[in-house]
Amino acid sequence: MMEIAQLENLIGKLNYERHVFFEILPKQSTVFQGTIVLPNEKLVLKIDFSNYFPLEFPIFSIENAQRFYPHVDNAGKICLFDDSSLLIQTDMPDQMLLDAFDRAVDILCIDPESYEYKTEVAREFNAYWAEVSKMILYTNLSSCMGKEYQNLSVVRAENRLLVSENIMDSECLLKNNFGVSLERKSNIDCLLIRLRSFCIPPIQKMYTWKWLRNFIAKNITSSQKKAFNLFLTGKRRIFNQFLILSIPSENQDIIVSFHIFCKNGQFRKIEKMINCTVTPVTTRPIDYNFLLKRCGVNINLAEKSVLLLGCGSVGSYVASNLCQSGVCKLDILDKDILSVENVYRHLLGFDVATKRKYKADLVKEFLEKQYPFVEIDSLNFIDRSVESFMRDVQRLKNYDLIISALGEPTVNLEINRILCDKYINVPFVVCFNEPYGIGGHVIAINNFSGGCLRCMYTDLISNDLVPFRASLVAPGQNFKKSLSGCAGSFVEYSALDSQQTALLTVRLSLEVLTGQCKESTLISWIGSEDNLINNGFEVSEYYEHISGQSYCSITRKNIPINERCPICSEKQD
Amino acid sequence: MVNVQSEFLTFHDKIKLSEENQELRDKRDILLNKLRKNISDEAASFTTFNQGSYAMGTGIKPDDGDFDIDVGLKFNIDHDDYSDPVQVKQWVKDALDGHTKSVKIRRSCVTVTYQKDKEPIYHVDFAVYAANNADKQMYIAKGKEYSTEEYRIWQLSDPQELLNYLNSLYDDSDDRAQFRRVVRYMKKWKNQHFITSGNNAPTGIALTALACSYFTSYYSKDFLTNKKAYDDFKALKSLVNNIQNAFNLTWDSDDQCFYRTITQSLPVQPGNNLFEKMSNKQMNNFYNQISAMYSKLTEAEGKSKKSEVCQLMIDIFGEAFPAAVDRSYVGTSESA
Repeated sequence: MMEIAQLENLIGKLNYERHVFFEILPKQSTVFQGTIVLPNEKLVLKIDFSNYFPLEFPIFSIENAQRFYPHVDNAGKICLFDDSSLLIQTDMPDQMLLDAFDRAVDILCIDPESYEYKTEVAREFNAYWAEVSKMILYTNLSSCMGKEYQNLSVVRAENRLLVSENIMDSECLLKNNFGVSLERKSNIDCLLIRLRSFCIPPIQKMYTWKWLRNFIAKNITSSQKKAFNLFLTGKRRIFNQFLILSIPSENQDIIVSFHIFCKNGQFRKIEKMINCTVTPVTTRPIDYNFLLKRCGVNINLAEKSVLLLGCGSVGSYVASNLCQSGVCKLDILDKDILSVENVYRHLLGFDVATKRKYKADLVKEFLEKQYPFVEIDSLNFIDRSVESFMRDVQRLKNYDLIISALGEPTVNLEINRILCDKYINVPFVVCFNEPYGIGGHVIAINNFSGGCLRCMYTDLISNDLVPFRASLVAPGQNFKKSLSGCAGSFVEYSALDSQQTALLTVRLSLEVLTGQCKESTLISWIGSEDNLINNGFEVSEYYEHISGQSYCSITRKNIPINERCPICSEKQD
Repeated sequence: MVNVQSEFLTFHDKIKLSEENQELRDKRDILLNKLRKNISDEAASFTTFNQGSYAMGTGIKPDDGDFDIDVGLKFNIDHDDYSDPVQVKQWVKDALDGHTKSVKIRRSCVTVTYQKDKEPIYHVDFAVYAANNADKQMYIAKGKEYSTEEYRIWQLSDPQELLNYLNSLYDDSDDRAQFRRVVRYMKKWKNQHFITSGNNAPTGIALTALACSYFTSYYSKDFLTNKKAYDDFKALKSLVNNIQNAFNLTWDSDDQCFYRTITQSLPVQPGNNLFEKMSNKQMNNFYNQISAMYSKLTEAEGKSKKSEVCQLMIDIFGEAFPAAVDRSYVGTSESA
């Protein structure tokens, strides 16, 4: 922290430059106070250097705010800048103080009638309201947004409050995602009203029911008023009500909610209720659109249906990434049981691996709990094998995308053949790792634009089936290791390799789902050869060709039709 | 069709006469040192160069173990000053005489046969050229010691021109390499299917010249590496087909029948027909053998098993072509 003398020197410069008079507060050695004259008001402003100034801007605050100021919190502190988005020149403390002062004045001068005020308020009000409110109400109301007037029901269980368009949705979320018991749940009436125009409730220490119903009545349309008046004439002995006010604003509505509670000895009209407790309520949206907003997600993904084959090392991360990207309908087919030796390469850990349950069921359980709105079907019928599932090829038509993280080229090629032969126009994404961290691949097959998967497994001068042509390791090597017999054999690669492959897989899958990638495409990540070589193996010619630019590079190519491919050559004929 | 390119390359490695064959080089250098040392004072100065299939990279190891090297000797003379070309050849013979049991002046060269006990036979052919002529052309000395005057001639010839011509045919050295491989396959096929004595078989230079006219490079480009994956089978089949189509029907008045005949001129000076020494009947036999090979190649194309294709190739080229074992699987490095 700076010396007092230095601070006084800085304040002196501010007073001189901006024609103000700030002086040190007698009992607070780092706080200065002064009065500033704005066009319509005079305000007392404090400048507090008790933080890490000059690594941060000093704290500016006002006292006894008479109205809502954007960027000013409940205690009067002005949020000058988003420090995390600035690179501060800390060797210019005098200029920092001037900049901070100018910014504070700008903020306080925002005209309440101006467009800027409305947008700033819209941006800030929720934060302000969160500070003054005493209750938290979770909302899952994206389907109700924009509606003028709607009766809803808040579900309360284990002190959690949640409102959805219907009670069942609320109960599902509470049970599955909040993990609360519904045994002692109760319902509380809730009214959603969208105000006629932008109008922010004034800042008050206390709100009364009389004030609130008048405020609503003044700011709603005549048709809403009719319904609201009818509501007010209803009779209650106990009045336990939530009111959610949706205030139209520039980009999106501002939500201001209240809880009103009143207990009477006898039934009374709602409008006549006295001694009501009116509590500001913070709404915390958990609806799909809100939760995914900061992820830059294409909302249409919620409607897409994806089949994931295999949820092992790569597949489990693919599943997780798909859900986090906004895909809600996911079917997972995997016949393996998660065992403890999997855990360091799998999304799920030791605690669930000891349960000896199917990977697909465990991944479903985990992801549905983590991400509301995700619905996973772990396809637990027949024997969970891809071969059985594909006996009815019509099933494949139900999906917008099929992803294989099986790491079994024979099965992948069979799926590819079926999709081609039956003219099933569902994109097919195949992903797998190569051993010892040398790399991984993602192949998106768009059957009607470019080569098919068999093209990548077909020799260049004959129709011979060959190992994956973009393989990074020389052909004819056996990478299987076994510590416990054939059943426990494995190929060495790390969880990082799987996650790298999974990331690329999901990125490409999203491109396919949103129509950005329409061509058959190959993406490979190229890692270091060191581990592979040290274990006595050889890299492929393709690796020699592609590597060398930099460690862990990523290549992307369109897959052309291989004229020798038995599937594509037939298609062309 | 299955991919037998790696089998072709193995086969090629087995049959090719390596340009780096140190033993042959040593033999040649010993003779050249001796020539320089012993050549008479009245002889003109000369420079040397490699010629023939060895120089062109189309040589194959001889089945009978008789390796040969062709060396060109460019004498700094004007052929007009030496009316008898055999006189110039005599300088070479005299210098080398006694080195081995056999040093002979043959029509187009001086041949030194080199043999030690139990070692393979080698012979080195020295072709003698007049290189400093008024017309700036090269002339080869033709004629034997006891030839009549009409067979003692200086013939316009520049063997290095053939190498330049060959190099000019293909910009890509890998395409040239495929050309050379296919010529070697043809030569090996010739050794398998013709009696080599007399003019029964087409000569190596004739097969090379046919390839100059009818060879097309076959490959597929890999979109991943942009490299060419060569298909020697296809290139060979295409060449054989083109050669087959180059034959014409000719009425042979002696045998009173039509024969398939072919002409192919040397693509450089003197541009002579390389089949002129073959009789119509011999050319017809050449046609029949070419057709038989084409049938086998076509049959191979229809096969789906590598072992069957390789067996057909063994029929064509002999046991030097490797046999193959079929597999219903290939290895993979994929896992997830």
